[in-house]
Amino acid sequence: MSKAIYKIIISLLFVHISAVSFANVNELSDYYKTVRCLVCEGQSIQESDTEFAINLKEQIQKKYNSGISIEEINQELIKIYGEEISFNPPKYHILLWGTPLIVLLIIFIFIRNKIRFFNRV
Amino acid sequence: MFYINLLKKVIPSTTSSLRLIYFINLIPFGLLVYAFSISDFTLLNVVENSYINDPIFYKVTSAWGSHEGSILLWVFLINLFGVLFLYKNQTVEIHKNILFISTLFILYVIVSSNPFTYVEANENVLGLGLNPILQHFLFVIHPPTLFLGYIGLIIPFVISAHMLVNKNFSEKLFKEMLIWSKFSWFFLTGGIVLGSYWAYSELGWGGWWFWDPVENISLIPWLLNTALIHSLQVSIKSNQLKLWSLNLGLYCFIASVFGTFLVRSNLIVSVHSFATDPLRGLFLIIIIAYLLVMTVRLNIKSISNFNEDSFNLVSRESFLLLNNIFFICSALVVFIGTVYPLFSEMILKTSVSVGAPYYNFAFNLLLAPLILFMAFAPQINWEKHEKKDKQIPFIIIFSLFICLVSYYFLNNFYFALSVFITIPLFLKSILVLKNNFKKNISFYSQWLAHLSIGFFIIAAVYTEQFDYEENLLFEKESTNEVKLQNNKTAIIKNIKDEKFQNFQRISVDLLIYDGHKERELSPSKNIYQPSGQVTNEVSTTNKLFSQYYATISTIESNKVGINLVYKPFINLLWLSAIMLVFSIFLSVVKKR
Repeated sequence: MSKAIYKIIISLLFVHISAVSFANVNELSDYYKTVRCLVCEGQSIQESDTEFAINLKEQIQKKYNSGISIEEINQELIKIYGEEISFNPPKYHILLWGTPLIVLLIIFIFIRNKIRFFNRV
Repeated sequence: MFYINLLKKVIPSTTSSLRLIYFINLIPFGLLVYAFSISDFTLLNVVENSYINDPIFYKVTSAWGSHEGSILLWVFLINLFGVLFLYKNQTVEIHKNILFISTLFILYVIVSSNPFTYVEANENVLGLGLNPILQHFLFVIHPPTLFLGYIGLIIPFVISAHMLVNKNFSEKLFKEMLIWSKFSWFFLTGGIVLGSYWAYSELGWGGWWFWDPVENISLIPWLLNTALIHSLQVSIKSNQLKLWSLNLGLYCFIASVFGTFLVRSNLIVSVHSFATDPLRGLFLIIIIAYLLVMTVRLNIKSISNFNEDSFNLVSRESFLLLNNIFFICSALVVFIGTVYPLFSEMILKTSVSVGAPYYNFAFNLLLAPLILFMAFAPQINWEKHEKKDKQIPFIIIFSLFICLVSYYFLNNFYFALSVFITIPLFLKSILVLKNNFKKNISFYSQWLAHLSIGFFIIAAVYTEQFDYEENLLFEKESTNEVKLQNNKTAIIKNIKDEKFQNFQRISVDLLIYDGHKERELSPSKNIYQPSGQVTNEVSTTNKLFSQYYATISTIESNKVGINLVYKPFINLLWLSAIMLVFSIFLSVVKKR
């Protein structure tokens, strides 16, 4: 009985994690929200109305219309301006992206241990 | 101010002398406010942050517009809380701690941020003026509210420290701690919501929530305080998790001091920037390090008694513990996200920006299960729960069904997920309300708080996912009408130029016509004196729960550009936030 519950929880967890990680940005206006305006403090180019943001938006629009994918545009921007340009840091920042996963795992282990403890008593 | 420290040594510690010290510590801020209100330009701080022609309203509030003034406000509030707490509890030990922390901050004011620096009076000085972005009616209430929230946490902090040191776990103190943490939660939530609304209505501050470092660090104490309120319930009702709550109580205040430190030291780039001075950061680091060392010492002392708690697996206690773990973990995740850019710059030598994508990912992971639990956990009994809830599978299946339907029609993953996690909450709320119609007020406050979180999530996700933006360009003589999506038209009426006391306003009158109803908008640009800085003023118009949100993007002699955003369900978001604040108000009032 309890093993079945674990299996259900683990599979749900797996579905949950993969669903959350694969929800992608696929529209241009959503993409704008992840590009940082470098001349303002902590805004994305979506909200900013500085010259930098407006020019960058035009450039991205042009590239997008000529058939370049958002992923490629993003790579190019990072090459030009550095990683700082994107609010979506690359996945090799393991400490950053890993923390939520590890934390979730710890919670899961914690619950499992509690269940074991109480079953024994 | 130097005399205050002396006085403390002279007067013996009794209630009235404690009160006297608190009142003396209240004076400096009062003086500063007075200096601002009469525009006393012999003070450097007044010259830098106030303008002779500003309305009196802003003159007074300029007192907390600068770094120095806001730290003095911090001192003022610590002592205000001290005085208030003195009426409830006269334990000298606890008040000594409050005064000690207040003294640390007074020292900080004296050493590195003294607002009373004297300058030679000069008749030509008119003041540099308050930063125009701050000239908004919310500036009057947002910072003090948020500060009340931050500093309200000092009372749980000192009570926990007192209880841990003396190993005196009386129920009375736990109850007091709960009231004060609720009190602080009320202001903290209120402050965050006001700040968020301010950001929303003052364009350029990034929508209603931006995961800006400063927003994050106000969220960390909020998350911890929420956890504290929940765990204190366990400590009071079933005599368990006592050490847990006490240790948590310590970290809440540390988190709020740490937040202030990060903002003030300018280590992190944010919209709330204050002038840099390395000494300020250093001194705050010392204060935090000291508090942290004390806290860790208390943690280590109490850790051996940690495993005394025992309760049933399916009981209210264990679910509240689970809630605590989720909240603390989300606070940790926000913390990592906020300090990671700093870490990466120092260690990895690359600068990164952590923004919405990371937090969306982390919060979806952590808060989705939490919200799902929230639907069912409040109905579980204390100590031991025996009867099985037969509704659960039906509710889950039903919400899964609604979720799939919404995904099919709207084709949006985030919204479908939020539907899936909130539907059980709504259903369960209705069912519970039907069964327990005449319960006490604490039931209603809890019910309302949880329900408003549900509304909040739906509204927030919907707004973020389905807003759309249009850039309209009007040209003189040729175009004064632009077609919008869904058969709507925007018509430009006229352009006005007005003069006010300390600024000049250029506004554009705009009409949005959707077939049968006209909506008026008048976004404007304000040009402030004496700095000549220009701010964008947003204009909004409501359509039930949704809003049109317009700003001027460009304005030239022959053409006008308008940025029009349609924000669906944004008003539901504000409404749910008000409900949330009101719910805690309900539970505090009940106690009185």
